[in-house]
Amino acid sequence: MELGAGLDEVAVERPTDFDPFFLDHFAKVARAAAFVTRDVGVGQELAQEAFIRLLQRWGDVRSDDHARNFVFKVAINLARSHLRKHGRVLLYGLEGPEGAGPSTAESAAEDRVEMFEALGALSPRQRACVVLVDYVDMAPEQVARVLGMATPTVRVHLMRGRATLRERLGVPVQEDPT
Amino acid sequence: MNADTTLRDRFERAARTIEVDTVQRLEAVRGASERRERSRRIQALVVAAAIGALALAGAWQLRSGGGSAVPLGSAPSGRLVYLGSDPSGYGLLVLEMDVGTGTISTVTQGRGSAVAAAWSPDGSRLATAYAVDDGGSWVTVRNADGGDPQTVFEQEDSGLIGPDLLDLSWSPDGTRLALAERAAAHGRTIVIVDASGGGTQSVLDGHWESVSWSPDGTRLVAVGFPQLEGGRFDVYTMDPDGSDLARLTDDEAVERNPSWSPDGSRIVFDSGGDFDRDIYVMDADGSDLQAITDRAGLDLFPVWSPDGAWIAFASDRALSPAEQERNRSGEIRFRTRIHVMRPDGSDVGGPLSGPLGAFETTMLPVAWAE
Repeated sequence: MELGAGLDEVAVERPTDFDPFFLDHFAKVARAAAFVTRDVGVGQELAQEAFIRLLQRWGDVRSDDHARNFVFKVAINLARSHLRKHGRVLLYGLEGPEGAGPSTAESAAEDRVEMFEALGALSPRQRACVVLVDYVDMAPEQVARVLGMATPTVRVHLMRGRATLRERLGVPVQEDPT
Repeated sequence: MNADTTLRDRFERAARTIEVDTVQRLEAVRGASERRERSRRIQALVVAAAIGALALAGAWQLRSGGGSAVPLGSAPSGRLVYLGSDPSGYGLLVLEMDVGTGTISTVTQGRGSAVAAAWSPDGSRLATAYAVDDGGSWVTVRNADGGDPQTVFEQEDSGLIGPDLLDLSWSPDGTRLALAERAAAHGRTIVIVDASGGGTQSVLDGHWESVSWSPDGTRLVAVGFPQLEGGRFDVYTMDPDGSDLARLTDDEAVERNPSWSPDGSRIVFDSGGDFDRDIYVMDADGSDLQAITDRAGLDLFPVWSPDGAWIAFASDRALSPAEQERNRSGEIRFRTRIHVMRPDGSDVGGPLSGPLGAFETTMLPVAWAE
């Protein structure tokens, strides 16, 4: 029984209906989970599970932001659990997950393969922080709430994760945008 | 700290190559959700019918007037500390309720989630335990008015799932605290900590999740088992140095949250499965075990009043059938309110809540002072 890790948030606007909310947000959640797990199929499965849980709680949802935070929280936590279950080899990218390696790369997917390989050099927490800030466009304070971390911890993971990711992607080192 | 535009562009380029069939996934989500809902309802109805909970629920409605507060006779009073859901985020706060009036105030609010709290025996200080994912655990002792907070114990995050620190209890002379804290991958040790921030002494290895010091200081009651793996959660007592371990329960159920009566003669605790828990009382030697609540649903976190005349506990009995059903389904944000009863299970009253915030859901009593 997990205590307190719930939907509560001070917000009063009623959300849109579930279906339009789903159509607007599912792809983003699935892709974020794919980046964290470095697996396209797993990302979509985890996003699907997160939205099933959201639908079962839809009556409690206070706003679109509320629902969005919940669904990212569940999906990213599931992604971290998935990585834990599959051991430390997968965690630190010493061995890429199925489908991420260069052998399956097609020219259209090169950007993805390159990104998955680069993300493999980050710890799961760094990966979650970078994906939520730089792909999902959340503020570090919001990421802290979604991941259940302190905000300074998020900033540390973000800085280290970005530095590694830039190096792996060959992106010129630049000052961290603040 | 804003998004890094270069990295964002690279993520977007990579994301465009990840094809997502959103419409097909929506159908899958709808279908799976309906199947889960059906099996959940069936399960709840089967459990309720098997133990006569439907009749009990009806009786409660008559008694409580549909969930509003009921007269308590010789009314309980004092300051009841409880863990409550944080309306602004995730985790639990420490709050205090004036039992006589139902007035609620926030005691502590900070980073992390509260996991336990206890009044010092003279009611002058409050010890609170916190944990935060990726940030470790710690125990703070402060005056009853909130002043002079001191961190008396800290532990780094073990990296394992769940809070590393789970429970604490004061020694009757107010000089030490007993803690149940993570010491190994599959274990939690009972440790004794100097309440002014001095030394720490580990007294018993195993897997211990709850601990409470007897009023005369001679024994600890704890829930868990004295090995790292393969044990069952039962109630044990021991000397404060970990010696003379005595097993008081031996069953398949999971006991939790033991608390001594103020005269030290009885121990109250909750027991059962995850979503169906009841409250039991037994003599300090494990004899004369009695269930003092018996319903399908959550009755848990019992705490004795300072005069021994009442037991406060968390329950979902006053909630709507839909909310109770949601609790049994494993809802992350489960709902409870605080009730009181006599130590024999009679005179059940409550909920004690005064005006609640719209988002306040979980209420778990942990310590009661005069």
